Amino acid sequence: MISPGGAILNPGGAIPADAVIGRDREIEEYWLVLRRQSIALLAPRRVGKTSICRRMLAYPPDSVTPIMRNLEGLQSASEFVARLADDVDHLVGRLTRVKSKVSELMARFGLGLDVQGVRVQLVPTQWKILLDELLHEVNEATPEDGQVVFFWDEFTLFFGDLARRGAAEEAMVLLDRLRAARQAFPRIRMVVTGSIGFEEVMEQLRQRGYANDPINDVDKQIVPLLDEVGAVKLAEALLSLLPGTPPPALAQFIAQRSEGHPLVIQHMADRLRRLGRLDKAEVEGALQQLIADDSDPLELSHYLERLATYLPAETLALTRTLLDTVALEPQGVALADLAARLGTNREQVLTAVGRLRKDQYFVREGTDHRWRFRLDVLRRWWMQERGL
Amino acid sequence: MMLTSPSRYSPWLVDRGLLRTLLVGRDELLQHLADSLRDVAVGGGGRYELLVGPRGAGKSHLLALVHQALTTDPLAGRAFVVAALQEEESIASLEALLGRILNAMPTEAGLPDPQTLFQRLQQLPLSAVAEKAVALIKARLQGRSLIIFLENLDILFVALGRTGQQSLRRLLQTEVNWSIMAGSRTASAAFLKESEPFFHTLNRRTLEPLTADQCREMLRRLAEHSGKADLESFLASPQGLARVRALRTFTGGNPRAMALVFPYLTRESLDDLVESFYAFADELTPYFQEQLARLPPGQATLLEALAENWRPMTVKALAQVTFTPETSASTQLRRMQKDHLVQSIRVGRHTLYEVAEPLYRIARAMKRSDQAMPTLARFLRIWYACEDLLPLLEHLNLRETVLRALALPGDQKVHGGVAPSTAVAMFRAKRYADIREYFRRLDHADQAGNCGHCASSSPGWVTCSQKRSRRLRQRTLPTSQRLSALSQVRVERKRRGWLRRSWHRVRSCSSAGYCAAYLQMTRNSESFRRRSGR
Repeated sequence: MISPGGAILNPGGAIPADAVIGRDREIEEYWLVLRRQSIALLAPRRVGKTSICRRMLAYPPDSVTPIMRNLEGLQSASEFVARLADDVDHLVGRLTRVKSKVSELMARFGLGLDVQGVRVQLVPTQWKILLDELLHEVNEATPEDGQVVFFWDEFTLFFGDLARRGAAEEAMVLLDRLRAARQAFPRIRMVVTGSIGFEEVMEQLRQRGYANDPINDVDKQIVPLLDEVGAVKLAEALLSLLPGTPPPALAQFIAQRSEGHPLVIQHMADRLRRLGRLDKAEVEGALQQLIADDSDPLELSHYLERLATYLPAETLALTRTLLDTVALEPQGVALADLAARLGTNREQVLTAVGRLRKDQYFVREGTDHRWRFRLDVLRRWWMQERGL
Repeated sequence: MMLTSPSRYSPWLVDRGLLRTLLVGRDELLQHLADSLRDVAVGGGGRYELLVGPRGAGKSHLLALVHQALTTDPLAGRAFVVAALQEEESIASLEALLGRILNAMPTEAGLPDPQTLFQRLQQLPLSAVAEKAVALIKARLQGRSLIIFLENLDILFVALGRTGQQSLRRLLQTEVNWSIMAGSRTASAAFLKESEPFFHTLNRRTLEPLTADQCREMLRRLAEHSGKADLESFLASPQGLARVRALRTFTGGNPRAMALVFPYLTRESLDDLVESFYAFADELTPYFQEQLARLPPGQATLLEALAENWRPMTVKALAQVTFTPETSASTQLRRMQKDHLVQSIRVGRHTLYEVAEPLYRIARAMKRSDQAMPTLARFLRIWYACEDLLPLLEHLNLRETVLRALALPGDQKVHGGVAPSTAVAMFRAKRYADIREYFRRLDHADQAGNCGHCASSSPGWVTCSQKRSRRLRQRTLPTSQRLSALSQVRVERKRRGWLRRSWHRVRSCSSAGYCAAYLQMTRNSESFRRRSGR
């Protein structure tokens, strides 16, 4: 009865695996990487990390057993291990078809308790030993030519929350144990995702005396926006759901104007559906509306607001002026030109643009290394908001 | 049992056919929400929609209609299940939320009664409830999607706290075929801040106030439903539209407020109208008192001060009149803005605030003897055309009020410094022809300034300064002077570009804020001209 068609057009919503479009190239690449090492998928929210994971989970290569868990809202390392035990219990049963040691382990560590037919999860006190034992069990149960891939969504958020709640030490131990497990168990891989930078979490842990680099064995991938092929494919799929026949090359136009941002494509298609008209002018109008709408549907205002929260006062003014200056130049500005326009020294500008690049505001391009906004839609919004 | 007459506070209880009839200006949104939620649910996905608007903006009305569209869909029950939580249900935890969702699921043949399951759930230890509730909901769904209707999501999120919100988001990420259709009084930080769990998750749709035409259409439908044919035809007339515009100025285009004023629309005789006006203010009082009682004292003081002032105020002015430190006033105002209690208008570097619900001004003023008469005068000035006010001077008991009304806004603008008693003096001298001329000039002044809600285009001073720039180039001035003048023109042009953009933003404000912002912008522009020596 259920066909994924209608679920494709769904800005900001949960998209089932069959409705994930335009990510085949990335998924293929990630599976290749997973043959040799674990991966960290990092990107701001709504770029499609979770959708990619869902698709990978639904269509794994032969001999790979994937299992997914969202870590958002877990309160402690022991709760993480309790959830892992639950997942492993199902997984190992699936892998070996014989009664595994996991149930025994769970009983030993006091994890399962039946109350009126309901299994109550208890939090293990000796979570470190249990974690090692569980992962050992998974490794043992996996065929020699096989792999078990744990997809842990919102991994960085979970560790960030632990550090913020004063459980930084717990976070450090857990990170180290997971790293050790990746080294010790060759049949286990991990795909961890995060919408906030892992670097920020590490910074919090370092401030509390942590000196290790717990994911230096993991391939860190910044999930890109859709490439042209993927964006056109998604736009075509969305247009096919709308009433009426779109003019030729409308999908290409949407892909180009959205710069391959899946959320922008989704919102554009959603607006076209609401307007009931399909042409380039409406696409342009929809984009303009997305930028001008007071309710900020693309939620771009945080790009402006967050500056004041993490930049020191002495660099805040310079950074804003820098952003204003670059916003006025769609083609970008070279570093020397920027320094001259701002009347400040090159080193200061270099530090500021470097920070803005890391925070996904700017990209550098061209042979003359011009700096421009990563997204033109953000540049246009910035100009409007700052009255430029 | 559904109500067959409109209800101002409980749209869920009203007959859906009547609700549909009274929905104005939001048909397209209703259709879009119902279609997209249905399509995503049928496709096995989860969509998260949020309607944001102040009290009385029509959120529950729209939610009830989307709910009806979905529950009567041929695929309802086959491809998806709808669970609507009642507005009155207080929910303080994720466990309670899941329990209520289970309880709100429809009774279906062959499946256990949801209420019985809910009662069983209440017997379990708290730590087991969430997991069991999800299992029970999934068992009832049998692979179908779920669409959950929630009211007051902002309040629910406060109750859930960050951890509860994170758990809810985790649940939605795991159960990919669960959708949410919610309403919220505020665009709370829980939806807007990058660090919050639901940032970038919900599609927020702000319910804008009704335009004058939409207000008229809504009142016309109400009249039709109440069988008031004469009122219906009156609303269709130009005078009817003028009257509706007047009402819109007072109500800010809030649908509930329009429904509140509807019974008073037919009061034609002045005495009746004045009496009704007092009765109306009386009726509004409990509604606003209840709102005020919920506010912390600091916010209540600011709101009262704003309500007493009929024009938007700066933070500094507000801080002065309320004896509040400026920083504290600023913080409180920002919070109140997020709660849709006040709205702001940016004019240059200044931010002006005013009450979001203009009716509050009336409710407040009519309770104070020193403000009742000026308020009534304001009302009369808007309610009647100037010419129509003239015969009302014959009513001795109301003469002072009417004269005040006559002397209102444009008075000083026309006569520059003359006291606003011009009309009074002329009336006493029986210079009736002069009074007519005076009214004509007042109206002319209003139109020339484009002040008021009737303006349709940006005023003259917003237009580009290219001509002046050309003239400067042509003039024979020493080069240095000419360059300096040209540079000033460039600066001004840049500023005018900003003003033009601000102007478009201001046009979307409520008419009261719009007038004030317009006047402020005019002053800014004039002061700029003075500073730049032109």
